[in-house]
Amino acid sequence: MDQKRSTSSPSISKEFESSSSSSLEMSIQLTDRNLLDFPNEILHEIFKFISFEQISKMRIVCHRFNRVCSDLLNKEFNSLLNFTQQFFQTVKSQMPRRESARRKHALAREYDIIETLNMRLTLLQMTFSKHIKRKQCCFFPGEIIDEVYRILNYIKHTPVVNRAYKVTDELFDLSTMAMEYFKEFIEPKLPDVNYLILDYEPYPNLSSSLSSLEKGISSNNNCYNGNSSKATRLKPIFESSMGNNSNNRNKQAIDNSKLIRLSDDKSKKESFVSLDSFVKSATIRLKRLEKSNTEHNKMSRTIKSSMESSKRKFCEYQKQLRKHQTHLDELDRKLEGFNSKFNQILEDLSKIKEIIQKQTTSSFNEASTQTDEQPVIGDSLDCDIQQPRRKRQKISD
Amino acid sequence: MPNIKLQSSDGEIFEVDVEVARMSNTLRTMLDDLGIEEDDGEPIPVQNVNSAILRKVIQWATYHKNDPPTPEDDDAREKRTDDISSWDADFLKVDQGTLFEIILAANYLDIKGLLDVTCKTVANMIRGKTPEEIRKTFNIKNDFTPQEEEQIRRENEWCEEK
Repeated sequence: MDQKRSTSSPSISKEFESSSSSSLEMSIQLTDRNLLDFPNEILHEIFKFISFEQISKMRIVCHRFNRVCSDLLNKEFNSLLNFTQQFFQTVKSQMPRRESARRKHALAREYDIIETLNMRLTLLQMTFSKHIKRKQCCFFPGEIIDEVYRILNYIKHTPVVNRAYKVTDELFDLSTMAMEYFKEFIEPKLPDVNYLILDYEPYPNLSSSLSSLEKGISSNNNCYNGNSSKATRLKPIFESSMGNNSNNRNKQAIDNSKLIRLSDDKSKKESFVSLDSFVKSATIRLKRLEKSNTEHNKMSRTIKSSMESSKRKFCEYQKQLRKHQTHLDELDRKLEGFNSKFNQILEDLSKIKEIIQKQTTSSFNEASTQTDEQPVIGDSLDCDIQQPRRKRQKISD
Repeated sequence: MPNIKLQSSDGEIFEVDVEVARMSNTLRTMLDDLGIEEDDGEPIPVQNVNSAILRKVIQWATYHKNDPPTPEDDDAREKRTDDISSWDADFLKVDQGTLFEIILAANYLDIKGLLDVTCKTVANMIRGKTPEEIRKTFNIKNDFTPQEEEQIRRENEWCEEK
């Protein structure tokens, strides 16, 4: 990895390496100031001399680096997207509207290249932006930004540019890799995103760029004339689009909307001409997005309704619970009453017991006196018995 | 040649050429606003910059005072850092703390050329290093939890051949 990175920037001059290594040694004798003490704008000043590939890899150094580098990557990606969009519109406005005439135009190849740039960046934005907006991730493929800058510089500094597919080949691979990797390994682990309307950013020139992209690729194989005038024509485009970038954005926006309206008619006519993998993948993705959008909407609706019904149920349950509680309280009160009654009864019982005990003891005493008298009774009984006997004896006598 | 006086944060007074002082946009604006063209005896206080660093900054500005004005920054997109002159490279062979102080001073005084060259120097200290080496070079502590680190590591694997 590291070797790969260092070979990617081979142009460090010799005296420079020595100076950086000497300061490396000096970093050991620690100083009071740390790199992290710098305000963000100074860190930006420093990082602007570092490739975006390394910036994306430096995020792992610490939280602060992560924040600054992520901001840089997102900002750069967005500004590139805007820049290519404007650049594309300005180039387009200089081209003839008839496709066959455009193929022979001096800027034909530039047009194809910038169109591919814009297209790839738009596709990347469709993949990443909703998660970036929610701060769940950043635009981590920094190499893509480097590659886009390389292509822009190539267009700017090369008088006769190569065919579009040769120039944008690497970007094509990188962006496809990044999108596939993101969908496969990163997105599933991010929190679910509910597709809301705010995710559907207007892609004003998407339809037009899609259709013209087809043309661009088919025109790759055509030769073009008039190279000599190209350089002089391209230069003002760069300048104007750069100037517009910062200065008169509003005006540019109005111009853009005009352009879009103009190009829309045409794109409608031409969009059925031929299909290539770009268009296919883009439309498929769009369809998939739409589908998932409706699905998610449906889901959210059902979830909402079930939430509401469960809320209602919950309220009912709560009411019932309250009722039960009052009932329980009543029962409690009753129970207490019973308890006290029961206690009273117990007391009464114990009193009764006492009385009975007293009675039994007194009756026992009585009984014992009675047993003393009993033989007398027996005697008298005996007498009684004897008396009839005697009577009987008397009778028998 | 008209001179003016600059006073560092720790009170030391430096007498410099007006042209040298005007390399700093901050000082130039101040001089223009106050209409100062020549030394009127009152030193201009340069807070935030101590004498050691101010001496370095003046040294740099004196050497570069005849440089053509740097072109407006429309090519920030090109990240050249191998264009540091050998004088600058020697000038910036200082310890990290001093280098950082010079950056802060250049930022405060708004001296674009000096800020660029110092930032390039720091960028060259970063370039091509692994995150661990960067931490070591700048004495930075890794303050990520393992989960956070894992997420970034996973994101950065997007272009690795498998």
